[in-house]
Amino acid sequence: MEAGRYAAANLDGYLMPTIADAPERSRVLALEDLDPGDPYGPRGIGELGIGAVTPAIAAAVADAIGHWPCVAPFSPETLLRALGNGAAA
Amino acid sequence: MSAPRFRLNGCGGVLPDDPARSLLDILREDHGLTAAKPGCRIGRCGACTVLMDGRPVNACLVMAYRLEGAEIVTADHPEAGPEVAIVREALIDENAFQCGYCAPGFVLALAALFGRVPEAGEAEIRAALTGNLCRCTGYASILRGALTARDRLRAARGAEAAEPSAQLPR
Repeated sequence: MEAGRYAAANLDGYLMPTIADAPERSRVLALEDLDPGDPYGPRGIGELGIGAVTPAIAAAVADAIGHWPCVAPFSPETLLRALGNGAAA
Repeated sequence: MSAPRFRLNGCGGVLPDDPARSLLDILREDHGLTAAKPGCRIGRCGACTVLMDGRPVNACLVMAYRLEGAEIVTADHPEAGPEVAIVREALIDENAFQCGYCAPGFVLALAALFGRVPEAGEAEIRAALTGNLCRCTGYASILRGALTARDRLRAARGAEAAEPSAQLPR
């Protein structure tokens, strides 16, 4: 990100690994032993945390302009249209 | 809306008035077929892959005017053919995907490959799938599913050759 905007806006400027980059062989192992004294057991990260982010940004948008976006991503065009429709700037 | 002039999943598809409307929007918004997914919308991610006259194409890059007389098959099609059905099952059985957003594209890219090269090796499979991006899996599970699909298609062809009346599963 640069100044709040994506430095690479799409996949033409951002090189993603493809199946050609996948290792020849890979083996997945489960870690089944808990850390000593861990009362909760294994917990996921990743998507579990991501779930709260979009609603949080939607809330920030609503706080800023009084319009609750209900389709993600929140495009500048959508928000400008909402502002034009009388949402408080 | 004009009269149907292209085939869509075995039926008549409806062309929009705008000749520059993308096939992806025609599928999702005009026909309610949501298997082709919008990802990058610039032909890099493969999430919107459909078959156009049997070949995989990015639906985001196909404009309406190019559809005149074309045969389009999407991953929504319940009778898309034996390759699609077997590839789909094999990928499910091998837990090939996590979130699944890229899955319809991979299914059709693989079905087209095996239609063209039934005995595709791992190198050919990798080459045929470089236009389909997956951010969840690291691709190992997709390769596993692809190899399983190839072996099952071979077995199905063998069964059909031995018993000509036996239809490939649809």
